[in-house]
Amino acid sequence: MSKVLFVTIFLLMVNFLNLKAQDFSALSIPEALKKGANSVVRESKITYSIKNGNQICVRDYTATTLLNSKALNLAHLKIFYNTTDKLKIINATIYDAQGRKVRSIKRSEMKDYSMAGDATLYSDQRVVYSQVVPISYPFTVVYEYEITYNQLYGIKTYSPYNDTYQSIEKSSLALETSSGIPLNIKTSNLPAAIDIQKTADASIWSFSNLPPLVEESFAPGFSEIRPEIKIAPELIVYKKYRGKADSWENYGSFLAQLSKEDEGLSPETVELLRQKTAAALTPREKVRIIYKYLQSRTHYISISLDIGGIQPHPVSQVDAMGYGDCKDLSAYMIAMLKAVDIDACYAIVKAGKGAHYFIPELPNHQFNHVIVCVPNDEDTLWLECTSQVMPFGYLGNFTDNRYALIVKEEGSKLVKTPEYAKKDNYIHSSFTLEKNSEGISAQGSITYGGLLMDAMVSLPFENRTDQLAWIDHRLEIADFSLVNHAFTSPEEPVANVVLELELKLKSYFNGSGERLFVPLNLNNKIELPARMRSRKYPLELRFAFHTSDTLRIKIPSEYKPEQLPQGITKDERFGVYSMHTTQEEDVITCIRTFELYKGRHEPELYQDFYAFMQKASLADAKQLVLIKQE
Amino acid sequence: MLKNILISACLLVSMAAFGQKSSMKFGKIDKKDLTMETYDADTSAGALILGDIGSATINYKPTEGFEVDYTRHVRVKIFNASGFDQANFKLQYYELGWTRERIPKIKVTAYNLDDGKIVETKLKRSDMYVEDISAKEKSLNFSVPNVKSGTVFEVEYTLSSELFWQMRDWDFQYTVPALFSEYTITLPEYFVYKKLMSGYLMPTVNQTKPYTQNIMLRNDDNTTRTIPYRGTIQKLRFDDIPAFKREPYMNALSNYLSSLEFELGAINFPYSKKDYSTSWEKISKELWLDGDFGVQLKRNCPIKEYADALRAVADEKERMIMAFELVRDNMAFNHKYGIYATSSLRKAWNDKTGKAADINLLLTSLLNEIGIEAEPILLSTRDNGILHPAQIMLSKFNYVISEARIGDETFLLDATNKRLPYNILPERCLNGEGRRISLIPERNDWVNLNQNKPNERVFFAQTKVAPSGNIDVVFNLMETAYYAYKRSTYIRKEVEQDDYIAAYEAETPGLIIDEYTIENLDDLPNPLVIKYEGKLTISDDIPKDMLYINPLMGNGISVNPFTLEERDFPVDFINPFTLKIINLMEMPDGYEVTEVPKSIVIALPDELASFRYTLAVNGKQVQLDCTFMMKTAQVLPTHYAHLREFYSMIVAKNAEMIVLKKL
Repeated sequence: MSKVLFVTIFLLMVNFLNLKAQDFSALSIPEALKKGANSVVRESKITYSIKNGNQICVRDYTATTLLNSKALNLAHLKIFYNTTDKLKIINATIYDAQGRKVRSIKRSEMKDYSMAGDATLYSDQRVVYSQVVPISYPFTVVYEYEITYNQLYGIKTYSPYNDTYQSIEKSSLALETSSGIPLNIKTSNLPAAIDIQKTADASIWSFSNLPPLVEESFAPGFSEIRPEIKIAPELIVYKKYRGKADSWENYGSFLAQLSKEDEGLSPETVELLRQKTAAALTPREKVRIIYKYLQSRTHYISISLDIGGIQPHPVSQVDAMGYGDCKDLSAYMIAMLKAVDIDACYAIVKAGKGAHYFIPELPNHQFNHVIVCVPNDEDTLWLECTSQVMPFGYLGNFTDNRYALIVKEEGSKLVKTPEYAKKDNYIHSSFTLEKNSEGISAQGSITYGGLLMDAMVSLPFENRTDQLAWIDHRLEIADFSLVNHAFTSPEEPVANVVLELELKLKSYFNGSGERLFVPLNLNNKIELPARMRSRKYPLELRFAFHTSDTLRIKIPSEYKPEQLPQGITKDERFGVYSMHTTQEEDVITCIRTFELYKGRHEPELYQDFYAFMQKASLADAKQLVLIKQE
Repeated sequence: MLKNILISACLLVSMAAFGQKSSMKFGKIDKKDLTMETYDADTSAGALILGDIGSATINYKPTEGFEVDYTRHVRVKIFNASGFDQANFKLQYYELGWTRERIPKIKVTAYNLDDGKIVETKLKRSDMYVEDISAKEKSLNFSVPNVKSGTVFEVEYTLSSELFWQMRDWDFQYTVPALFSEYTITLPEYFVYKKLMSGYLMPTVNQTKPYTQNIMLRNDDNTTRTIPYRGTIQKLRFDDIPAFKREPYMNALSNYLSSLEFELGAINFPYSKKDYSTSWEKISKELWLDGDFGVQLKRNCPIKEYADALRAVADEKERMIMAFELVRDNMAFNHKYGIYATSSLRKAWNDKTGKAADINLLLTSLLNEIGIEAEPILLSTRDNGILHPAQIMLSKFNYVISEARIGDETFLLDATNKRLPYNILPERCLNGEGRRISLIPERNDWVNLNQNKPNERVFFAQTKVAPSGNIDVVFNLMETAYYAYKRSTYIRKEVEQDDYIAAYEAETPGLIIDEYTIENLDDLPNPLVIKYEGKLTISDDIPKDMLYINPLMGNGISVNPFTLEERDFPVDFINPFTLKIINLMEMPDGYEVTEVPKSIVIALPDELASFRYTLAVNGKQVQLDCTFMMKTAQVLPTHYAHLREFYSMIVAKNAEMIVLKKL
């Protein structure tokens, strides 16, 4: 024991001495760490200390050298905190390239701002900010501060990396626990050479000489690449509430108790809802009616103060006001369903496009959003309650295919939200082109489904100006005048967004001699990925989809086709592309289909993927050639 | 001072008698508004402002003295979910120590129909939130309760302010349509404001009337006397206001939105007068006396240590460029605007940091120090809105550059961007005219900021077509001015130049670059040159009977940016430009050129733009020369249809192909 203690003290002393002797000269950074880096963490010492049963203290000392202007966003002082936390800023100093002190940022130069965004009426979240204007590069910023959180409810994930293109000279996390509170610790992507010191009440992870991480398209997320240490206390102390986070079940029970005292909806509201659903024949129909009612009379507003960050407002209040955040609106939806005898669950998720990364073995606050789950043997329904425009039962890329915790007083458990498969995600289009004396007309429709309609769901509900702006910006058609358009969103049998279009095309049937050239891809050209000269990370194709585009072209009477372009490209790992052109009397039909599969592949396969996409995109560029008949 | 002796005021003229009576009374809702399903003039609108009535009144109060009282009463109809945003309010106000703004009164009520009856929902003050945005700014945030499709709601509040120097603006146009918007300004003679009305709409009411009012003063011997004062009441009203919509290629929103802005001109109390600005001569004179402007230029130049060396450079232009580069390369721009120096130029030079005013006043000072005539020029940046030369409002300016004069030649200089050479202003400065501030009265004048610098992209290609249709390419891309600046900045943003080339390749399907060089990346004003060799792989390797080759090889204008039928506002290209593509093609042996695109020349009226496409065949050599020149920075809406058609013709031409047939 005494030996262990000695080691700890010795280590601390060494660190302490190190600190004093720290050399901030950019000249002393090893060449290997500068290569491909925009910034270098010279030394970072982060301490999480859980002293007593209801406080976590985080100390952060970080010295970062900025090698060029691309890392400028790391230079500014930015400390996020909550008004209930205690923030102490210890040091903020800037050093020049030689490691000489330039100046310290005074407390009076630091601005304290509210973090409330547009849709937030109130939030306790604040930021202390001070802008740094570099005179020349490289230079070093040293920031040291301490935040005491007056609660036990998760701790920020630690990683030596704060950014891509950043290398690490030295970085460490010290976890001090004298309180005896059990901790759940999960690490990922730790390098083999890591130094871990463990004592009875402290652990120190030390990283040194780590090369920069790069950014690549079609790559796994930053969290899945960088080393991370996640720590969660197995006890929860949050204001007056207590709970356990040693299992998802207990964590769920803790959240459930926050709403225990909610008195529910008024008898008048219950009666109203019963009347509204009286004629419904199936439970699904009842849910649909209530969901439409919710969408028609509420909107999203966030009010987060005190415990409001995790506790929903009373449902009767949401009913009276008609607004709330995801917690409020979901709890309200569940209460309304309960009024018509339908059981629904409060389900918490980490929302965000592509935010699928989750550690199921770490019961903890890994969430930022609430949705509603209506269990049913074959046909479980999921409801996003913050949107006025989402189709009934549609989650989209905000919450698809990821873990969600079903919160119950007893029996909370992790489940997966629905995944949108290749058959669900599509764009289907069909157009007819005709050249006559008045010009060239195009008529047809585009149907978007699954994740490919995600960005479109609000369009049917937007005003004409915004719809026109979308058509103007998003259609790929080179040159057109809009004659007519309509966005609709049929919900049965599956939710879709349909855009019907009537256009006058201007630069089609081009040519000034014997021939006319007609592009065969009207509005769905493949976007070619960059040809990378080297690839570091796996190739990740996050979801599968299919598209099918039909173009019928009426040949002007004095012309005949010189060539009917064809194309097929197939790669069983990535997908299938095909383009077939056929002629029947004076109509040429081009059917183009493209399927891309979901998958994760070795980095070396990126070149094959590029080649596949390249071939498909060349086929997309093919034109129909018409020649004057003799 | 005045505050202490004024004790009470009484109103002599009934203000309500002025103009037409406001048609809205809080709480008196027309049932028709609740049953209305769409707004006929814009059936797609998510909400409609039924009326918005505001006022700004400078009142005398016995305890506070003069204050600005703002009132606003807005009534809104919600049609559907896309209008719900209208129910969210964030009323910002200031607290600057003792000088503060308050919202003493606020009423919020929503009205809904339930079984034909109007149901009211009121919002309590306790359901509103005060957000401390920063130490000085606060915001009263609330969302109108019980808002759904069909709702009508009203918000009414008063805001009292002591900030005379920043009278609040009033917008007469919104993101949703409005039936009417009305604003009344009541100003005692002591307060003189300049008013700036902007936008493209015409008011239906614009009336001004005088009024008089008395202030009661208590003398030292406890007797009272009355001071009468005069003032004016102005009322502006707009009716049937369409929703405001953005268009592509548009300058700052504030140039187009119908709104009213104020600038304090003077406060003339009987015993103390402070004149803020009246004429350009006066503004100039005062700026020269201002400690944060002219005085800084009169002091010794803080860059003494380099001045001697610079003076030794005989050629004046060379000397100017060296001074410019010295300031540019030494000073870090903190991205702050404004026309006054932060503190002193010496401190800015010592800190090597400053806002645009610091940097360019420093440059002006250095130029004068080394014997080159230079003067500051005030301007309004593009996102700050265009200036109306007739309006003498100093507050409309937000930026300072420097003008140097050598013989007959003048140079507009801005040393805030390390990547820009002396002869190119940042795009933010290209905004109509700036105002020269000179000690010589006749030189105080407007200066055209758009210098129409040659802004060119020249693409020179030597290509060789194979029987398969694949093409060997040697490309040479040269850019000047803003084209070069933008591309070089973008290349510099990439970690490796290879990453840039990969992104460049991806823009042209089939292009594979084997070798490349990039010249003058950090050396503007020399042209940026990218040379590369590679292959356009547009086919497999099998020889074809017919070949179709686009001579532009992926470099023309292939999309018409103007798809909207009509346009309300000018198209703003910021800068004139020239795009030139020359392609010397060698066709494969054993093929004959059976068809080529015809050569054409087209132009816009008034020589605003021209396009020339010339293609010449000489055996197996085919030469393309294609030039697109936009000779103006702005195209007015009257020419929009022509511009759109012009682009259409270019896009169509650019899609044409050369046809080769196997012999």
